[in-house]
Amino acid sequence: MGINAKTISDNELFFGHKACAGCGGALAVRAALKVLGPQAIAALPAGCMSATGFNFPDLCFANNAMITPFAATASVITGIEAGLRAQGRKPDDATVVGFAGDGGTADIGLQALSGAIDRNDDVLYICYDNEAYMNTGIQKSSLTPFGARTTTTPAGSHHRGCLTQKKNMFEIVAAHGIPYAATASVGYLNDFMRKVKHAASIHGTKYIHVIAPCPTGWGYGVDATVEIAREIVDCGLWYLAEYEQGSFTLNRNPTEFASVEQYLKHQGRFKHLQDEDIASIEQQRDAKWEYMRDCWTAPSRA
Amino acid sequence: MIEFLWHGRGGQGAFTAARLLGAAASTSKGTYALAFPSFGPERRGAPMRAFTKIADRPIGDRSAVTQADYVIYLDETLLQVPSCFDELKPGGIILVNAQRTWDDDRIISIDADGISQQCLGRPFPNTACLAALTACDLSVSLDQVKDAFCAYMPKKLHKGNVSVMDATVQAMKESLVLSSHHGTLPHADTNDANASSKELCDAGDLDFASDGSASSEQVPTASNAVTHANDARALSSIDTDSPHRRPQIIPQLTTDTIAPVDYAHSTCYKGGHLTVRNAGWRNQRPIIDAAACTGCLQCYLYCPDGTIFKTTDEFRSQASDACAVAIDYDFCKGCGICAHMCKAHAISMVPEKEVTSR
Amino acid sequence: MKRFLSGDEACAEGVRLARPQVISAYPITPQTVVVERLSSMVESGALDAEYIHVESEHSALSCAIGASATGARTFTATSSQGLLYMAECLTYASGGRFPIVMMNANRSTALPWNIYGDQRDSLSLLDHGWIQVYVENNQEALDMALMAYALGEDARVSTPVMINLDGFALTHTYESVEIPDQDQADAFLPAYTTDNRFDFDHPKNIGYSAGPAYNRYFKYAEHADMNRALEVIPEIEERFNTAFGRQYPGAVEAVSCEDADVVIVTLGSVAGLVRDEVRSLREQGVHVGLLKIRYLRPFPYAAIVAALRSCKAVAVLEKDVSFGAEGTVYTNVNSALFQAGLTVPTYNVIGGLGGDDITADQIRTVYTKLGAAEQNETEIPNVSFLGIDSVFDAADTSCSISNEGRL
Repeated sequence: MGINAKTISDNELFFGHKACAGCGGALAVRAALKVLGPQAIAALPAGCMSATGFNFPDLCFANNAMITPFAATASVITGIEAGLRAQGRKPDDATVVGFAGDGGTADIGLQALSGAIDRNDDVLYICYDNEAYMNTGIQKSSLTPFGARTTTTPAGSHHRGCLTQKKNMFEIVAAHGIPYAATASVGYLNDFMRKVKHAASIHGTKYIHVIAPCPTGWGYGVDATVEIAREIVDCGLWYLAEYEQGSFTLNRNPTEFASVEQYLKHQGRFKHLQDEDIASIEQQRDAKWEYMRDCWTAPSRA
Repeated sequence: MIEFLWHGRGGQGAFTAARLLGAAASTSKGTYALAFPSFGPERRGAPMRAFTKIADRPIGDRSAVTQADYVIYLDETLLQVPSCFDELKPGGIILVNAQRTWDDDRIISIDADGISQQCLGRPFPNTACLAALTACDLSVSLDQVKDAFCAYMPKKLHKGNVSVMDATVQAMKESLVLSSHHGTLPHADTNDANASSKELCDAGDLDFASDGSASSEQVPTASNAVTHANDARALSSIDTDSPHRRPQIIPQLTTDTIAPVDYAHSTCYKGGHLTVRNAGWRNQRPIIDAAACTGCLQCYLYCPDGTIFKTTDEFRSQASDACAVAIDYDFCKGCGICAHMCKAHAISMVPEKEVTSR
Repeated sequence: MKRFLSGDEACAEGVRLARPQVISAYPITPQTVVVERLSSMVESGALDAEYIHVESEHSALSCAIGASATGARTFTATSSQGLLYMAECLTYASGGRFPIVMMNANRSTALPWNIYGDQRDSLSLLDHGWIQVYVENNQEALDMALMAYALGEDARVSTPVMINLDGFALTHTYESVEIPDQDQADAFLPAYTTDNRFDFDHPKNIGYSAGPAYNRYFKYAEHADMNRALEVIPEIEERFNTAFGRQYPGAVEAVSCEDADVVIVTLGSVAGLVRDEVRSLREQGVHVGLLKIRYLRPFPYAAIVAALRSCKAVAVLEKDVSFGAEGTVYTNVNSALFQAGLTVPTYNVIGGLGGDDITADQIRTVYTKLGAAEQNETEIPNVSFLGIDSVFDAADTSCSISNEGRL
C-alpha cells in the first residue's frame, strides 16, 4: 500500500508546538513521525524543533523524545538504541530517529553523524534542511546556498550574500557506504514518507535529507512553504534521489526545469541577486545534473 | 518614569518600535531610556511583548513592565477587555491598531494597518503606532522619532515610513478636532493611495530581516509563565478531544497544576502534555466550505501543525455541513498552507477580527 | 582474589563487577588502559555490555546520556582535554539526572601540553553538577566503581559520579588489590531501576528546556539532591563494609586531627605521602594531622569544620590553581571555615602541576614551618607554589629551580 494522505496514521505525534506558522521543519517532523508511529523514539538537538517543541511544561511529542547536546544528535541516538538493545527493551517496531537541522547536521553534528554511520548503528537520521541557523536568527550554515542573504552573509555592495556552495551532505553520507540514504522535500511528502518508511525497514544507519523551507528565514509568505519546497525541486536546485547497496538512483529526471529565477525571486533572501549570479547558479545546477545523469541510475526524462 | 508596554506578534516589529521610541527619547539631554523584548521559544506569529522605559535619570530596573502608562497593541486580536486594564497605570492609555472603537475613554484606536497599507502598500503597524504615541505623549516629539528612525533603520525604508508617521499624526489631529475625548478613530483616507511599488518591496524588507530578532531563540514573545494568564480564557473550556475526530494518539491540553516536587527532580515528564493553545497566534482563520470539499486530504497532509484532522463517518452522517476534514482552532496558527493546497478552493482565509465580531 | 594491578586495571575490574550495560569511551592517556581492559572483557564475554566506539569524548558522554535515558547502566572514562571536550555534556548528564559513572584520570591541561598528573582538569569543572570523588589508591579505585553506582543511582540522589584517579601516580602504578566475587558485587549493587527513562506504555519527553518561571526549581532540586548524597554516602559505605569487609570513612578522612596543631588538607594519591609523614612526625611527638577530602562535590562543610576546629594552622595542598586567584580546594576550605566562624590561619600549597613530584621533605617542611610560625610569627605567604616561591621548599631539595630561575 502506498503511503499518502489516505493511508497514513491519524496519530499526531508532534502537535501544539510553537514553531512559526508555515514551518517546513515542523511539517517534516510531523510527517516522519506519522510514518514511524508512536513507538518511535525521537532525539533532537538544540534547534528550532527542540526549542519550540519541548519547553516545559509544554511537551509536544506524544511519543518518547528527548533533547540532545547540539553536536550530539547521532551519538545520543546511538546510545538510546544501544541502551534499549542491551536491556532487551527495544520493541520490534521501534525506530530510533534523530531530527537535526542543517547546522546541527552538516556543521557541528557532522563528526558524530560520521561516527554513527561508521559503526552502522541501527538508527535513522533525518536532516531537515532550512539552509541556515534559523533558531538563532538566520545565520549562514554550510548548507546555506550560494547567494542567499543571511544575517551573517549580508547582501551589500561588497558581497552578494553567501559566497560558498551548499555542502554535499547526501554524497558525503553515501561515501561512508551507509546502508540507505535519500534526499527529499516537504513539497513532495508522499516521496518523503515513502523514504522514511523504507528507511525504517532497513537495519543499520539510514540518512534522509529533507528540504524544509523556512518562511521567516527565506522571506516568503507563510502559506507558500509547500509551493517553495516544490519549486526548488522543479527548478533543479534540489533533487530527489536515493543511495542503497552502493548505487545512486535519481527518483525524478525532468526533461525541462522550471525557472530558477522565479524560484529565487519568490524569496527575500535572494532578492538582491543579479543576472550574472542567477546565471552562475543555473550553471552549477546544470553541472550537477550532468554528473548525476551520467553517474547515477536515472529514470528516463519526464 | 514613563513606561510603555508593546503587544504584537513575532514579525510585526513591536520591538523595533519599542527600540526606536527609546532611541528617540534618548536624544533629549538628560533623558534616559531602556528598550527590550521579552524572550521565549515561540516564533513568528506568536504573541510577544516589548518594553520601553523613559526617565530623567539612569534606569536600573531592567525587569519587564507589568503596569504601563501606555499599552500599545499592534494587533487588535490580542486586546482582551477588560483584563487589559490590569496592565494599565491609573490615567494610562491603551493604543490599539484597529478600525473599530471601544466604549471606553482609556482605549484609543488608530488604523495603523490602513495607514501603512496606504503609504507602503503593506500593513506594518509599528511605525504608525509609534507616531501616534507622539500625539498622546509629549515626552517624545514626532521629529525625534523620525530622526531615530533615520538613524537606526536602513535608508531605503526612510521615505515610506516618514510618510506613514506624517499621515498618522495628521489623522490623529483630524480625529481630535472631530471629537473632544479619547476613543476616537483616526482613519486613513483610503482614496489617497500613494504607495509606489518600490516602497512595497522595501516594506517587505522591514518584515524580513531588519528586525534582528525576527526568528531566533531570542525571538521576543509574550509567553513565559507570567503570560499563561493570557490563555486562561482558552483553558476554561477545553475540548481538544473532539468527538468528530477519529481515535488517535495526540498531545492533550491539560489544566492540571503541577508542583515542583512532582517535576523538578528530573527532566523526564509525560510526553504530549500541553498547557497553552496556539489560537492566539492567528489573525487569519481557515474556513472550510464543506460543499466544495472533495476529500482529497491535501490540507490535512500538508498542515505543519497537524491541526486539520479527518472527521468520523458518524459525524459526517449527522451534520449537514460536515466534510472529510475539520480544523482544530485551538492550535491552528492560520498559516494558510491548507487554503493554498486546496485545489477545490474549498478553504478560505478569513481575518480573525471579522470572525470574532460576527 | 588478590591481584597486582594498576589503577586503571583496578577501576576496570570494579566497573566489570558493576555490570554496566552500555560503555562508550574515547581513548586518551592516561585513561586508555581502562577502556582497553573493558573492551577485552566485552570481547571475552566476561562483561555483557554494549561497547560503543565513539569518535570523540563529546560523543562518549552523549551516547551514555542517550543510553541512560533508556534506563541502562552506563560507564565512560576520560582525562584532561577529553574531559574539557565533553564539558558541555556534563551539565546535560547532571541536569538530566542521569547517574552515569565516569572515571577521570586526572591529568594536566594544555598549554603547555603535558600528559602527567595534576587535578586542574576535574577541579575546573566542579560546578557542572557531578559528584566528584578523589581516590588515594587502587583498591579505593575498584571499590569506588561499585559505590559510585550505588550512590548515583540512589533515588534520593540521581546524580552522575566522577571518580578521579591521579594520572600515572594511580592509573599506571601497580599494587595489590582485592577483587571481590561477582556474587558479592551483585548482592551489594542491584540492577538500576528508575522512572527517569523512556517508556513505551507511557511515553516520556526528556531533557527539555524550562523558562524562567520553572528553571530555578530544577536547579534547586539538583543542588538539594546532590547534598542528600552526604547522608547517603555513610549508608552505602556501611553496606559496603558489611559486604566486603572494607570500611570507608565518609566524605572526608581525618587522620590524627583531634589534637593536631597543624593539619594538611589534601586529596587524591598525595594523601598517602602526607599520611606517611604524619605517622613519622607523630612518632617524634609532633602534633600534626591529615584531612583527606574524598568527596569534593557535594562539599562536606560540616565534616571539614569538625576536623579543623581545634588546630592552629591549616595547609591546603593541591595540584591545581585557578589562575589569577588561588587553588580551588583552598577557596572551598576557607569558605567552610569562614562560615563556621573559625579564624585559623590557612595556607595554600600548590604543587604537583604537570606531574611534578611532591616530596616527603616538602610535606615535612610544611608541618615544621607552620608549627614554628605559630611561635615565631614568621611571615608566610598565603598562597605559594612548591618548587617556585614556596617557603616549604627546603634549600637542599629545590634542585630544579635556582634563584635565577625565579619568574
